Amino acid sequence: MQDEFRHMIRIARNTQQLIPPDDFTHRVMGRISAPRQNFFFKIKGILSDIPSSWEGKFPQRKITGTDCSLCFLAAGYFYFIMGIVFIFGLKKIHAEMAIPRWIMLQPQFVLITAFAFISLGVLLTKKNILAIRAAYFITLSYIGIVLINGMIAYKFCAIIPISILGTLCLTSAGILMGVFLSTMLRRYHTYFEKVQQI
Amino acid sequence: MNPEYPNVTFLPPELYMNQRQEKELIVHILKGHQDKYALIVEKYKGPVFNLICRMTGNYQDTEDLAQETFVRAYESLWRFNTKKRLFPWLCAIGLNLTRNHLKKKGRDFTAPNQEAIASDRDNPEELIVRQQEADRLAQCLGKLPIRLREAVVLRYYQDLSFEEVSEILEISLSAAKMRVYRGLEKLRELMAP
Repeated sequence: MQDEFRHMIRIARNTQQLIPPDDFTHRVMGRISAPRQNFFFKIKGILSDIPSSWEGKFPQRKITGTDCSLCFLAAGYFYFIMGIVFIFGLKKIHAEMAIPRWIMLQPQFVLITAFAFISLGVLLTKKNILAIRAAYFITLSYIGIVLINGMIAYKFCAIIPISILGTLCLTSAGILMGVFLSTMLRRYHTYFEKVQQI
Repeated sequence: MNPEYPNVTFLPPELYMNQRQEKELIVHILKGHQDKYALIVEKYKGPVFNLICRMTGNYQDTEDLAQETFVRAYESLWRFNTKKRLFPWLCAIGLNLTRNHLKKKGRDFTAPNQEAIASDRDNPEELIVRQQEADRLAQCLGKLPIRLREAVVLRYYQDLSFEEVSEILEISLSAAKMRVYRGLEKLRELMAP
């Protein structure tokens, strides 16, 4: 192949290199320092990569162990409050009407979730690969459990239209929370591996 | 350096030898030392600029696209796998941007000002002939379909190996060879008087 095209290849390889402008690096660095103001760019960024856009531009995008741990602790705290509200709320409703047993178990599920997330938040401060893997496994399991729980709860709630809406909202919120936490973990894992390579 | 083409200075050996240093540099940037990114830009601006210029044939567009390449690379640096080399990754980003740009802009290609490298042996007449050949080749290159053009540019203007071409274009080694061959064949047809 080389013999056939040798002449053309020689011309290509002997062509003088083009030189970028002197201030090229300076201009690139200027664009990096100044955040882009383009509204559509931001919208596109939000749509294509929601969690990273929340984190802002690149230097803030990296997820450290502390960030990840804080997210889990916040999620745990949220579920803890939600569990307390559920306990008292369901007790009050139960006094007025019959509630299926599965629904009555929800506060306990929520409190177990709160305990699990708070424990993971503490575990993630250790900055250990095993902690990251354990957290990732538990978070994925959590998404699965939320989905199954939602389907079972839906069967029990089918008789009351408003409770169907409530079940759907809580299930989708739970799944979103799981997706968010697993994304944070994945980013932390990427950052963790990069730092470990040194 | 390629002994057959001593003037090709796109990828000096140190770019490959300093991969560990490059990794360290990337980790520094990831840790928040934004200013260190200037070293990466400085190191690769030449090859990236040339690659894009050979593809677009327009100096102004090249400037914009090359800048955008480095900005995008910076924004996505956290995704970069430090086990791999940075240069092919930068080329892939640059080529993606260039492809999109060329699709939007259509087939408007003006060959960049080609200057054949003069050696001591060349007399002025030979130099003019070589200059004309380089211009003609660049014009024909602009007529190639984008996919073939990028393969030829990477292999012969950038002097990358077939393995590197396949890595950048995300195709198999045999597909890269085939694409380069088809590009050369098409170029030969276009160059024929």
